[in-house]
Amino acid sequence: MKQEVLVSDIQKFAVNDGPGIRTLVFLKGCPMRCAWCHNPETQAPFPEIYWKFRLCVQCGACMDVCPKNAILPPISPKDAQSEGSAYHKILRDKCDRCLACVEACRYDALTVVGKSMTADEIIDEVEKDRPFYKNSGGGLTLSGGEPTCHPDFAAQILQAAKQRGIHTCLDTNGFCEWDVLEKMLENVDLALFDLKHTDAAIHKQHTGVGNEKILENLARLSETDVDIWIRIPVVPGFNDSKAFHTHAAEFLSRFKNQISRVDLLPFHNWCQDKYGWLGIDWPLKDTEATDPSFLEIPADMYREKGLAATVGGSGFEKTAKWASG
Amino acid sequence: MSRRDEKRQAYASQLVPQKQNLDADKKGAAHLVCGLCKHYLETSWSADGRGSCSILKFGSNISANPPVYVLEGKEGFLTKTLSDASACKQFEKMQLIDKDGYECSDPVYRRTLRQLQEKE
Amino acid sequence: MAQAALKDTSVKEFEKKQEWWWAAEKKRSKRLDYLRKAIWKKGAIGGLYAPGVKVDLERAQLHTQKAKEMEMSPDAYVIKFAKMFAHILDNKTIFITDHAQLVGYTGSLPHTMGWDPSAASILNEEAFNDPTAIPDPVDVNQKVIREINNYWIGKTDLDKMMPVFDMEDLMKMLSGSIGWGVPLARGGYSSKDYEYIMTGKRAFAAIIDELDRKIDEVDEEVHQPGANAEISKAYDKLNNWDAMKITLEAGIRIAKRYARLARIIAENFEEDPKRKEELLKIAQTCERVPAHPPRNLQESFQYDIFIQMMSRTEAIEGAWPSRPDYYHGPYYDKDVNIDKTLTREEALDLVGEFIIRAAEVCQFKPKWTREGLQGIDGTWVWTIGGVDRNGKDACNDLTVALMQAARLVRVANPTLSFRWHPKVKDEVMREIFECNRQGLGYPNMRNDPILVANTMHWYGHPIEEARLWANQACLSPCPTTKHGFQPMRMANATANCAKIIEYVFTSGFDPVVNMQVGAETPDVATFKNFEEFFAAWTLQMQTIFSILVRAVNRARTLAPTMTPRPFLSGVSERSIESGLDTLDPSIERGNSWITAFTWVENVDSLAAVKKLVFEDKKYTLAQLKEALAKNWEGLEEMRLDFVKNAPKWGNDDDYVDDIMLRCLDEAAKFSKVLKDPSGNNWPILPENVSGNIHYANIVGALPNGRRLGDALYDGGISPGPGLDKKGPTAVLKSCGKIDHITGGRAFLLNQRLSPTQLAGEKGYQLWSSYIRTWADLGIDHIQFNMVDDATLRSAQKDPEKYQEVIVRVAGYSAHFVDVSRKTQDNIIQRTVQGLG
Repeated sequence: MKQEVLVSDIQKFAVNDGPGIRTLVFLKGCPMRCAWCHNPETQAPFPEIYWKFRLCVQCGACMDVCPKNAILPPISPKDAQSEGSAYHKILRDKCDRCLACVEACRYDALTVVGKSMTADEIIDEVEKDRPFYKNSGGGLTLSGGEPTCHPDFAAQILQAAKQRGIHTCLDTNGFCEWDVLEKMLENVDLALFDLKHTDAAIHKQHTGVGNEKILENLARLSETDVDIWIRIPVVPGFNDSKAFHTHAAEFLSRFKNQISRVDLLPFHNWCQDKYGWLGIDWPLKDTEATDPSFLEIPADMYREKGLAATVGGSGFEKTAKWASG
Repeated sequence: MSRRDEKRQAYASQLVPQKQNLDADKKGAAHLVCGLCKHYLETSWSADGRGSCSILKFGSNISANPPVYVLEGKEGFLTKTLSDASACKQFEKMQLIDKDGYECSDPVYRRTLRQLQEKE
Repeated sequence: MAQAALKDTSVKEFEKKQEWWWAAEKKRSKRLDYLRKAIWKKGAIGGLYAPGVKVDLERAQLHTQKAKEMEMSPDAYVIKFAKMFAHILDNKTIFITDHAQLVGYTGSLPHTMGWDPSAASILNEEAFNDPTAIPDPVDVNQKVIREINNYWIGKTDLDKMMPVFDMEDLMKMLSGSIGWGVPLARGGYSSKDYEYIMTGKRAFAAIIDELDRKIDEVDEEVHQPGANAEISKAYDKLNNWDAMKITLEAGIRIAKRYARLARIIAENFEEDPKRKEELLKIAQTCERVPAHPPRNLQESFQYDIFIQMMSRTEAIEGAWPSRPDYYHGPYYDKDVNIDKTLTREEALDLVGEFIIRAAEVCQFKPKWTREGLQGIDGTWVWTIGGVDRNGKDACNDLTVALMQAARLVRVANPTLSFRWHPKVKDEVMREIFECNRQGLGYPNMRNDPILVANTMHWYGHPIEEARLWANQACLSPCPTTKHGFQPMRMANATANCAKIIEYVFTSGFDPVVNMQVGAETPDVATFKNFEEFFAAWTLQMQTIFSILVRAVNRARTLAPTMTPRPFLSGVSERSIESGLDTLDPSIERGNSWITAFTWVENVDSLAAVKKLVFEDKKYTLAQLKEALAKNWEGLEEMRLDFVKNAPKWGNDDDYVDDIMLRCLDEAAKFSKVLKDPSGNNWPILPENVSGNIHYANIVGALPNGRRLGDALYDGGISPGPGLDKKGPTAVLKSCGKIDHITGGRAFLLNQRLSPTQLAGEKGYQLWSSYIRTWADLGIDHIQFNMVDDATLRSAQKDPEKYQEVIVRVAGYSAHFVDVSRKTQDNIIQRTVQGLG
């Protein structure tokens, strides 16, 4: 059965995802499993169930309708919501996602993430903010998950956007076959290319896949005339070392004529609740969010190599290349 | 009396200001007033002492002798915080929160504050 | 040297931490710092004045004393009134604040509030009932107040006017359910003919000469052989002109009293030679103005303050319409750029002080006004920017200086309202941005091209006059010209619109005040479709608006004779020319509007009824009627259905946005049926001031899921708190569907911004893009309220209401509402720090 491509969210007024004011479209499905992923609900391509413990009144209505006995009996709401509570309403290994419990819940504590939409419906929604794009150089940013997982659908969306005169950004991790990526490029104005790590082994350890293909794709991408912004999520204990930034800056400087800028994105743990809602125990939930000012020094290292760099990736940053000979 | 005349009389008691007795002392609950009754609804709009009764209806008159109690009808009985309620048999004293008697002497002032506080 | 460096570093540090008050304190001059702290906080919070602020008995006593003296006088009423006015100015206590360069205050001492006992007995009652505002000793002074009040019973403006209103209409208004305000000429607020008195062409002495000329001319005419209707009317003109003269002469005299006081202090009490000089300068200034036109910036500001002070002696002005940069700008230019008699810093001191003098003004107001105006004495919204009569950019150095001074003195009032047009320079935009970024909450932005067209559409003002508009109160443009300016905006034409939808369910009976107020529409349970329901809504809307407007029309018609304003007339060209009081509707073009409080609740409620009752058929109107009557008691699930499952305004959703357009359409149609005494229209203006707090206890349960006592929406066309789920862009899109030229008078839109959004150059670029889009969408107003730490902490009680200001992070599908408190804390902290 052909799996429909699902949209987990369409977020307006995105100001850190390409130039200007943009609309972010998140598609479900990703080939990587990065440890720090802040949109865990976009990893799986199928619809998933959120259980929001703060809204659950523990009425038991969901348990009554579950055909797979995959729902725990109610306990006191106070206990369920207390810090460190291991209680998660859904037994995920038994759940087959029939969604009967979502139907039954009258408190919005159980909701589905992942909605089926056609490319036109998506662009209809994106087009609503056209006045903002016009006045800020903004547009659509296609993200997820990983859009290149669904090359046909992603290409449709980008094409529809271009047909309607909307500026497009493709937010990709570059982990795909080159020809998949290449085919989409004709409708991409700017590529937001994620770089996690330059070291293949470390990359595989924390994301589940190696980075050879990714780095190759970047090299090939730089030979096209698509504009590139590199996005590096800086994660404590993974790629926040001086050694990494030195190496990455060196590596990226090879493509400095194609790379308009490098955005260092500070780690944050605000997504921990989303993990909780999915019943996933997130190892990084106690890691503190990085103060953005800590990334200024690493950012200088890229600038010294002739690359423009920002912390946070604001779409309104006036980045001038660092003059260095 | 036509309905229009009746209304006029009722409204006049609200709209026409009364001269105050220069010797009246403001301190202490000298007598029962509408403002001390549970059923009084102070208008939160002004601080000049107007309000209505939530039990008695339009056409009532508690200063008449004998008092007139109209309990049917839509429109409320318009009265004032400091209106004399000693003759009213519907009177039920409200619970006061102020022990120093200030509330009794100026129920308009205190009740308003309380209404605002309760909403927080 | 080191000291200066330390001072600078500290300011920078404060600014980095966004502690704007402390940064301003360090940055402003010693003089401004002193003057800023020397004024009393006059805005009431929760309806109560700050401790120490007292009612001014002196003015009330002077007024009463003179009124008693003149009871047997043969003078016409307007002349008696002018004499009372003059008596107050001639005898009130005056003072000069240390380090001040500008003088003039409505009360006798800095901590007093002007109290006019001749305006309304209900106000006098409140003065008596408010022990915190009565000066010590309270029991003695209460007796004094009682005596004053007893004298004025039956004689106040409102007492005299009451019999001429329809008692039923009046009762409905005074119940406080559907409206706000009392229809009094001396209880509202006046715009002014600035083109006549503030362009440097003339001042009081010249006007007095003109009056003398006209009086002599007409006096001669009426004593020639002959008689006719004109001659009969001419006697009134003579009285009016006489009265105007009396007030203007009193104005010149009080200025001279200030001059004399300044000289006395300088010659006998002041040791510091520099301050002596300043006092002598004050004396010279007050000897020059208001008799003669100003020659420099200090005189120009002083002239303005005197006019305001006198206007506020004559009436309880609830606003301050003005275009300070337009009219004072030339003097700023002269002093700073041409003659170079003032450095920029010295000019900034004057500008800052001018703002402070406005901030300290206070007149005792009734409780309902105070509650609706939380924290301010009135809406002093000063209009800056815009264009001149030829459409050219009118921004000048003073436009910038006002904004810079505003950041230094940081007062809640006056606020600034910027008339944006496409040719505004970047330098000026950056100043506006900086004010907003520093949490002032102003300037708000007005879309000038749209509003000029709007003003012409509704009232037929010619374009050169329309371009000279200043806000009459908060939002409504009014030309400052001979026939264009509105001499009295009665706040009485302010409707509590949430009652419209409430009354559809109660057939017009108000359950909170126990009275039949609205139209007796049929039992709501009998409506078979949405059209019938909407027809009832329309009728209630028309009924409520009509009650309020009828009263104002009546008052406006009778005001010139019953409650004339000789001083205001004395500075209005049309009165000097015609001999009619400036309140006379026949000599103005009319600029009336109905302020529509609590408007959006209607739209959301209508959408909910349309969807859940008529389309989904989930509930009947009978059930809904009962639920509302019970205040949703025991029906929480049903209530949540109405909150969550009916579309809400502000989400760029045509379903409910179309209903908004329809409601405005009906109102706009009716606006042209309602006519004011000048024969002009009555468009509506959705906005709230702080009415949403004040009316929370007066509006009952509504189909948008509201319970009695819940806070009402922010105001204007802002969506309900937390009900705009698609972010700020969707809000602007919804608002952009309204035609801001023909849809109504103006529409208030509040948006919240967070420090993250406005940080640094990129913050400015983001804000600029946002403003350009706002302008593109043809929206006429936008006001940015910056959230600070304290506001965001309260966000945790109602997280849905703060979604749009939360820091936005790259590539993140954000949730704020349902997350744990700990996460919210973290996000809030990051937001407040302005870190992205």
